[in-house]
Amino acid sequence: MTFTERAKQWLEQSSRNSLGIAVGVAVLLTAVGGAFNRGFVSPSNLLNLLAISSLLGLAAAGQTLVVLSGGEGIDLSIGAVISLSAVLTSQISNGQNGLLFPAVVVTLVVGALLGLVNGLGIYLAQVPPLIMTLGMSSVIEGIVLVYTQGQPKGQAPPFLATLGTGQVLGIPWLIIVWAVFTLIIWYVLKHMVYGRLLFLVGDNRSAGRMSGVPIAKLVVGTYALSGFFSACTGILFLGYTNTTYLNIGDVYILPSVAAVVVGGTALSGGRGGYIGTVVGAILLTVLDSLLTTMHMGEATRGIINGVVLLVLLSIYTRQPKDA
Amino acid sequence: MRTPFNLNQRATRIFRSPAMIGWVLFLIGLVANAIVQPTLFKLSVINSNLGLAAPLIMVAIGQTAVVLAGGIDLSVGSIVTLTNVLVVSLYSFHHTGFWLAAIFGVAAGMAVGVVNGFIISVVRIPALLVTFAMMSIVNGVALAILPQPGGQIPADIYQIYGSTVGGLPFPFLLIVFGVLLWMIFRYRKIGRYLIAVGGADWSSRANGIPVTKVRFQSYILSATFASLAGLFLTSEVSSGDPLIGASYALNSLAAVVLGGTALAGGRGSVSGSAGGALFLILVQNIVYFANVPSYYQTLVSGLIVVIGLATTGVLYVRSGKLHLTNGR
Repeated sequence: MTFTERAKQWLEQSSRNSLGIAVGVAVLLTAVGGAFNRGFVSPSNLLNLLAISSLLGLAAAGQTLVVLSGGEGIDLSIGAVISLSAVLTSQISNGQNGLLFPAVVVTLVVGALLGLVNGLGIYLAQVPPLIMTLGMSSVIEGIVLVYTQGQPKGQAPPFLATLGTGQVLGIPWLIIVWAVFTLIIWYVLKHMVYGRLLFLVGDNRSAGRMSGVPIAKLVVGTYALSGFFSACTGILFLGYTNTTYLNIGDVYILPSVAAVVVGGTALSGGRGGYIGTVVGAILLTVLDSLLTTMHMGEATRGIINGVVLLVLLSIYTRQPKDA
Repeated sequence: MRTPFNLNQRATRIFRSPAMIGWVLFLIGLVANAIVQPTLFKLSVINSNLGLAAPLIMVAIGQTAVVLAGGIDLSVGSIVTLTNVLVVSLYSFHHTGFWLAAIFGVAAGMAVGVVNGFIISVVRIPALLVTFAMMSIVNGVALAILPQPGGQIPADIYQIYGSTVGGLPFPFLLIVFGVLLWMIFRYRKIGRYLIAVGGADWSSRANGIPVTKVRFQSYILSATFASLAGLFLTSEVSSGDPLIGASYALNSLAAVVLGGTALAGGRGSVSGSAGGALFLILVQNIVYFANVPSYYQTLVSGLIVVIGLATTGVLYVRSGKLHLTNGR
């Protein structure tokens, strides 16, 4: 075998290993950052990058499940739910530890309910997921406006602020929380009935239906879970920034989808997993931070983000010729 | 004795057609709007409503073309923005004439469509992701061209856009122009191919339809309509704004779905989308004139749209084996 043949084969094989590519690109980007600025690769900055990734990673957790469930599943209401959750938690808790528990409970329930509405619209009324969740975004933004009268107030209770910005043994709490979530989601997807059925239904709904899988419950429940995860993200985001303003969650809408895809989960459903999304979230966070370090303005950042996304996509979401 | 039967059949066909939903929604919206805003049918009010509707209808027509062919274009809003900032900044800051600026603006928008079409049909990457990434890129470019809202266009352009010609509102003529432009494509080979490809792309390929080419062209079509929409919108607001097109991706898709076009492709019509687009414009009016407190306006209009979507979906499911999505 000549060298070029071998190189070709290697390229072809590795292009199927999207997780490997994502890890490679993330490491490469970090190295580029280090070359520009030594501080970029200091342990404290790397931990900080991971902590910021955790918010995107959690937002993308629900997105991963929804995409896996198939049927062109996608959740673009994630941003609006995050905004609403941050606002709800800060206003109900009023900055007091004592009220944090009820605030969190209410927020999580509201998040899950909004996800449930998405799921019902998508499954029962057959509204395409993209449109349903976009439509719900504007409803939820409306709820935020009504609830705050346009001026969100309040702040994170001290406990939540510690969770959002504090460290234990030098490791940010956010990373620990994310690690726990990751472990749970990984276990659920790999070893629990829900996870296995999700892959089956995502891959082939008719097969799922014929094998007696309760598809309605599964799909609607998955959208509810996505709302739940977005609510978690909103709560932690409040802890991280300690303030709220309108539409804080919007920055997570597109990156959450990008993280899922970059992590190797197929948008057609049924293939992929959360570990890939974790890597995808880290990759996108590193990229964004790198562009900020290089003092790129908002316009240039948008352009480069888009181009990198396109390049990554063209490496491994190419479709067979006759699809 | 055949005539009544035929008439009946014809009526049934019209009432069963998916586009019907869009027009029924439009009529409901029209009645509701007329109740809360008695001046609705004054010529000047019709004129200003159509002025707002024309850009959305244009974008929705282009979106319909892509959706019919089984694709989706999330970059339409950014194309509207690109055309807007290019035309305004070329005219006000680089002192090209307005028409030269307009040609540049539309050409730039179409170029985005060419890139979309190439990556989607030739490189074969999912349309959702490509147009999504393209949106980020084009919005970035627009922001670089015009970082802050500003600039202007010649006053007579703005005045013509708001005027009437032969008793008809000028924007109405532009809408007619858009529909005619679509008709040119619809009843030629490309129009039939679009629907064939969206309906069953494997069989289309087997039957010798150039699927790749048709897909490619659908994105150029959608970008063309979006950049014309950008030009109309620029005439309406007569200044530049790097965020002006933000709402068009969602609204054009909502118009398409409300108009009974299946997102799965292959079924639907531009007339339905136009009805859906008009409905969306009326909803904004209704909420405003019904004296809904300002903080509630987003919520109420959002709810109306979601309920409209759900109704469309339920009707679609009821109407037989038609599905709005591939998934179920």
